[in-house]
Amino acid sequence: MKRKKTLMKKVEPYLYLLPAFIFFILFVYYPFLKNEILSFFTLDKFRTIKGFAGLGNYVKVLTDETFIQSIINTLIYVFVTVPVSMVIGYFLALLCRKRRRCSSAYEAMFAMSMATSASVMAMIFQLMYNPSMGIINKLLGIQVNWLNNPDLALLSIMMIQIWSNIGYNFIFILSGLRGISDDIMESANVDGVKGLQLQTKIILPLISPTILFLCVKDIAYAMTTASFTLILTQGGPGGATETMISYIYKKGITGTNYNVAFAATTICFLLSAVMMAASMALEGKKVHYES
Amino acid sequence: MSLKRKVKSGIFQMFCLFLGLVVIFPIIYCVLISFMEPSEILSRELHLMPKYLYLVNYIKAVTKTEIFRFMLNSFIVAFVSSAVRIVTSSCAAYSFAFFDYPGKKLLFNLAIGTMIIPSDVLMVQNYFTVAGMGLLNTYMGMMVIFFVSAMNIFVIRQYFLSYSVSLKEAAHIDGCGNLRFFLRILLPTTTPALATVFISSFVGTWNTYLWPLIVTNVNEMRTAQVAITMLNSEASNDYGVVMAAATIILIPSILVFVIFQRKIVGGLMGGAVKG
Repeated sequence: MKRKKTLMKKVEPYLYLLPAFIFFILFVYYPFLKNEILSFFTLDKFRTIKGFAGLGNYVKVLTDETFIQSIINTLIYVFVTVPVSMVIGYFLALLCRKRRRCSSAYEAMFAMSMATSASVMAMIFQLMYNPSMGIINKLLGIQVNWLNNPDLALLSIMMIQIWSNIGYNFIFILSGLRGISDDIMESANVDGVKGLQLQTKIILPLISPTILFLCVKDIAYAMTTASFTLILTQGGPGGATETMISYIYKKGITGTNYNVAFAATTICFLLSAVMMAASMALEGKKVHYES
Repeated sequence: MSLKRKVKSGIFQMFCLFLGLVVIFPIIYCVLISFMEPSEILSRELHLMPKYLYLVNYIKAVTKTEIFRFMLNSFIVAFVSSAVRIVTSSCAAYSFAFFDYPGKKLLFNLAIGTMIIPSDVLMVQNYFTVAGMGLLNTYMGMMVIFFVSAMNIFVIRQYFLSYSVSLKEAAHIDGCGNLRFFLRILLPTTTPALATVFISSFVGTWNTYLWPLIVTNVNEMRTAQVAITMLNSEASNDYGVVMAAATIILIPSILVFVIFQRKIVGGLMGGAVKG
């Protein structure tokens, strides 16, 4: 009897983990490992293994110009949308640091994009970008086919992403800013620290944990972006807006080229893991982070 | 002096309000277009205010599409998956926060490590897993991959860690077992924190696009987010109807957001960031 009880005691903490781990194993670790293994084999369109391929699938996907283009597009996407939306969010947050009579109204407006979904925004921007009916061309008095021009299509999609990120970045940076104690700001004031120096020497270091958190999250999100591409351009014109995930989607979900899809999945995973690790390492040196 | 400051502050606030309107312009634009006649939308002149409140777009959006069905689908998916997530995550967080056992560190790292494997990357394999279970075109299929979240485990664990272990020990002395402590003491006292995690998770799953798109191919199982992108072709480029539908879909998430704004941020950040 007593033995049973101690056994139960030993097992109990694992039992609490069980539900979560069932889903982790089923939908994260199992598909991940299966993908890694299958990416080294040749499959037919029914996903039956036809033979060992070694690195053949990787060679195939890395020599596919569309995939290379999709990697480049995704990296441009990350390096443009993440910093730009961060800077905009930061400036909006600076405007709101001090609470004022109407601040809850404009704070809600600045943060609003957080509540919108990619697909609804895609539909709204599709109309805004419309060459003849869209507000953007009407306002600028020009005739530009934003989403069908190979030079502008990626930019147009990135603009939607930047808009969508603003709310999120704004609200997090704002709560970081408000977390800075008044004492610190006052003593900075007394010491005559102002302007850019105040920003870079005092405020930024203090909110660096928030910035790091946002960076990692935004990068992870941007590395696996696909919604705007799938909804608005299907990767076109001429692969100009293809992203890694939209490429995988086309090969593995709407198409049946699993050899390429699985190898591309591994490469996509590796690249996004590297990007996240890099942003953590880069920030980690400057960040004062309490675990 | 004081008056001058007041005026300055007033001008500053006007400026911020104006900036706010600029930021949410796409949403305002969507609402304005939704009240316009087709001829107004098609006109090449710049004009933003509808001539009058033209409601046909809304009538069409409600009668010609199954928009409420789509929204109900979205609601079921978001609600149930967030609820299940809270259960799986708080159980795991309880284990990580209050117990010591061999392998805990490894298991914790395995759980948190899933954050670096974005779920969209695994969509092809997960699609076949879900298809193999016969869950295509079912709510279960749309929800099942959202049933656990490493982020939620991490955030809830941070909340739990703010409780001292001695509280649990005191409960033990009073004859309260582990499970009872969890259900009767820990969960009820952390309900506000769990609610914030729930709300933020709800908004997140309500807005997902890619996974529901992949696992459904019949119209009546579409979520609102997937269905809206298909109205365009169905309604033969009738942007007024699309914008009306977009407005209807935006209303609940914006309402939830405005009401729970603070809670959502709390739930997302939790103890994760100490600035």
